[in-house]
Amino acid sequence: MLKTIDLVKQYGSQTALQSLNLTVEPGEVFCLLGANGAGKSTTINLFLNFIAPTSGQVFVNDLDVTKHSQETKQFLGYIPEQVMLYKDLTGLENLEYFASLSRRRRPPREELKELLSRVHLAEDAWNRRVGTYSKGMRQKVAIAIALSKDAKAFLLDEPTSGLDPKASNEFSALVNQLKDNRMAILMATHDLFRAKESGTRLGIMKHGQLVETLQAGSIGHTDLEQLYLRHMHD
Amino acid sequence: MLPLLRQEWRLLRASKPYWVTLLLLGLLTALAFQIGWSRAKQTAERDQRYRVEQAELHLLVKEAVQDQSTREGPPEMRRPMMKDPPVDLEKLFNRSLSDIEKGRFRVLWNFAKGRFSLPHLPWRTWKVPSSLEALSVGESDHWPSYYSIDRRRQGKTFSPPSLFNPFQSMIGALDLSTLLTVLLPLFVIVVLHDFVSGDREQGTLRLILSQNVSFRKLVLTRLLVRVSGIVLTVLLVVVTGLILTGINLSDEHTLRLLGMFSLSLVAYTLFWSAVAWLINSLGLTSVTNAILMTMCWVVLVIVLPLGMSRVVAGRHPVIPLNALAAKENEIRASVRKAREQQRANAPQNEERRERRGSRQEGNRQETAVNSFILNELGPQRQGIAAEIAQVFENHQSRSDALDACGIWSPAFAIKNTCDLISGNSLSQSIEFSRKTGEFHADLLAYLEKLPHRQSTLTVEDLQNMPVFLPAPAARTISWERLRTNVMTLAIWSAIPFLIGWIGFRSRLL
Repeated sequence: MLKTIDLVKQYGSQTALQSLNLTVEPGEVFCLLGANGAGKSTTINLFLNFIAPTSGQVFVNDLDVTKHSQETKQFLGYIPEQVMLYKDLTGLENLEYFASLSRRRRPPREELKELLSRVHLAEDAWNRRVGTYSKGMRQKVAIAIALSKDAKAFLLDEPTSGLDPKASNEFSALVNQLKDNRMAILMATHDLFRAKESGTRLGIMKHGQLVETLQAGSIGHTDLEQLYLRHMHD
Repeated sequence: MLPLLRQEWRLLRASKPYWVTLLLLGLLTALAFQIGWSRAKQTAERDQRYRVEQAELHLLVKEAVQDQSTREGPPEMRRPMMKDPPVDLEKLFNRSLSDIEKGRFRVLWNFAKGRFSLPHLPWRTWKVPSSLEALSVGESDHWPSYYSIDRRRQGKTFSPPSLFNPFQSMIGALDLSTLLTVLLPLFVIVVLHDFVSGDREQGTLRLILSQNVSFRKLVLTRLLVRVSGIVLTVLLVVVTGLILTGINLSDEHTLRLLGMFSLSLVAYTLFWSAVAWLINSLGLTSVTNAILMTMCWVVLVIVLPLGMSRVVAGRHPVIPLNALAAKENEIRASVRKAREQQRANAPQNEERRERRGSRQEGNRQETAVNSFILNELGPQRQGIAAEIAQVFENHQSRSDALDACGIWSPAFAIKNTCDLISGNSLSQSIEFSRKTGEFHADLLAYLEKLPHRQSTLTVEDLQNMPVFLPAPAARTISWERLRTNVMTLAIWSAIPFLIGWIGFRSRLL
């Protein structure tokens, strides 16, 4: 579903991504681990065609994102680190607005409410202005937005940073739910614990390179932490 | 496009600052309309008063000419002045008259009977107000909207009223045209300076760009929705104002004018929207956008029009009308003074005549006054007449030059459009003055042909006399000029829009 081939991104003389080859299949959660500036967010931005690759190719559902920018976005759900919505609108109205952008028609209210139920947003919050929402609640709306367009793949950029443990736990449950629904998920994170818990595969990035890829089930928490730190210190 | 429009509208509906801005714009528009309307009302009332006055004057003169009471019998039996006209004046005019009016009409009745006195009757010309007069004060502050015509003016048609408010003559009145030209762009700046950058700063842009929608189409829709609120607010207030003030909007001519005004308003607002579009496409912050747009406003609304006006004024200098009026008043004062002097000497002359039994001294005094008027003041009067003729020419060339400037300045184009539609543009005022001049010349030529001053008038004389038939200012509108203005605004809008379209990239993060 998500694939990169020899992907390179350079900003002037600085290389942000170096020959990245990556595949995320449906029902798989690929967690990209790495320090700040390792290239995790750059990878996500390239999938969204927010930036153009210097060389290499990026595919979503076998479509090259540079050639089919709009079509590929139909398959992508994107949860940025800080989900920002229109503060003056309610959660339901925000969902309606963004869903209408993708679907080019106004979705029925009942369907939208059903989506908010699926992401476990409390019913009393649906008609409250988003300005009063917590980060976790905004993330739930963003996931509902992605679900509204039948996204097949999710790009999660540092989704659990700044979340309290309860909200983090709820988020992990949601990710697992998406995984069970055969979504392909690419998650950039610093949170080794959540990565180990939710991920099926883990990739450690350093200086724009994927230096290590491993199955999440094949390694314990402590070993993962040590491996990660070793790569960071090398 | 329609679902996008609907969604952008829903988004905007929740924005309180937007509605506060529109409310303020609506209030200012209503205030400017009210100012324009109160002036238009005064003009319309004066127009009506003049029409009634002139109609009554014609009626009175006609009745006086038809009255045979002074023609019967030998000349010595004719009554030179009647205490009361042989008709009931109130019945004639079908209204009650005050004592002052009755007195005035009695004088006019007697006056109207002689050919010599006919040219001195107070004939007037007036500029008929346009149905959309309330839209712009235009040049009506600087140019007379009526003229008194009589033989003493010797072909001069200038008698401008003095300017009551010199400050207003410099900046113009706060009318709707000024509001649209100067203040409307500021409202567009407030509403549109952050229409893309605001999303980037708020953080919603990333989520928007991750949706499969054309970003250009989305921002274009957003721009149109936001700007339509501004246009609709102004139009709503103007149309409501026109309806409330009793303007007949079913009249085809008025509707065409209103349509042209609406088109110009849309085009001018779109121009400023295109500037906002271009600046937002640069990917700068909202504050920077606001500063850049304000700088554009300063240049395009203040500096450029002012500079062009200065250049035009330098190339086509005109003597201020009130300066000419002051000169003319000086000459009148000199004549008055000479005549008063003559009157003051009259009793002494009588005494001398009685004493000497001769009229030689009195005649000498009268001749001296006439000689003074003829030799001293005559050339001055002719000089002023020549200056006035030159003023007409210079104003005309200035008006043409300013019209040409409209192509280089959107502010000029919209102001010119409003002035034209309201019937208060410089070119229309000059045209009115010219027509008055032509009428005056015709009237004088006709009066010169009339025979001896002692003869009485016939109804035919009166019927053949030239009559000023004012054309409504709205009918003298140059549609070609209006179309040029709208086209100019459209071209001005297209340029920044196209540059912005090319520059607008989806990667604005």
